[in-house]
Amino acid sequence: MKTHLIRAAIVLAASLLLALGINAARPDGVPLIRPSKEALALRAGITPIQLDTAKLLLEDPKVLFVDARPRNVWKRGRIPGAINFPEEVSDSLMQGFRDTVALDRPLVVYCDGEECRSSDLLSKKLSQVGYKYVYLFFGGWVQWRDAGERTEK
Amino acid sequence: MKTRDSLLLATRLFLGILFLYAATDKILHPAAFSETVLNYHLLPEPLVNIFALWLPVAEFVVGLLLVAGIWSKAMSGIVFAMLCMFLIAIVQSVARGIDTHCGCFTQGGEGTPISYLTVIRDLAFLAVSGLSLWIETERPTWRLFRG
Repeated sequence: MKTHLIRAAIVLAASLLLALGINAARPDGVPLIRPSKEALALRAGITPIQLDTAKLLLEDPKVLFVDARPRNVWKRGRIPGAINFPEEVSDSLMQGFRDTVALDRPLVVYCDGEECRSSDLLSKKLSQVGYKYVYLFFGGWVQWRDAGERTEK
Repeated sequence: MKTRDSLLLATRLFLGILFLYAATDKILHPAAFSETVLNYHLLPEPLVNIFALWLPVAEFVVGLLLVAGIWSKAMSGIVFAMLCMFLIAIVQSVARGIDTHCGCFTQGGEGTPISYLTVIRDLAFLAVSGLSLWIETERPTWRLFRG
């Protein structure tokens, strides 16, 4: 039993060294310590924003709020005026979205909050298809609602 | 060839090739796999990339050694432990309602989102792995072929 455990440990440790070596050698290697979500967003041309900025942007009629959560969740409550653009079906809806929303219109993308990933993914896709002003509201619905801000159903 | 040897050969090759296949896409797309790992919300963010780099290489090496029948008892044990780890990750994601893709074989959000079907599939792999670990004899694969 002890021999097998030692062998397993050797293989797993050797795999780690091999993985680090491969990563160092390849041009598309990733940093060993993952950058923060904010840094990754900025690198993708997306501007991360906090609650205060989201509140200010809501007052601007040119800004469109985009809710990346599933439709049934969006129906139960959302930031006023936010349209629903569920991330999981965004590939099939993207062409229609581009036809109706101008590429220079500022967009604020959000999902549930810090824990969800759909706003990260959707904002990246929107930036990739050509939207120039994509803002990512990390605090999302939970922070908005908990701050007692206006909501709609 | 004895029935036990045939069964051992079949389970070794199945699990070894499964791990080699699962590792390939993850090794080719490290950034996408890092996103997948992050989506499971199980690891602290600073550890995500190191884990995402290490796991597929470990899968590949273990798969290769298992197919060859080298240190096969230890490799079977790692396969079993890894499948248990994957099962826990999938079950907690389904239970918490985390909307993510499995990332088990392909990266970049391809494939269907995880569900209880993914859990059942992983349980089936785990059953094969448990059987493999139980009947493992440490005989090299080429000897099993020769009977």
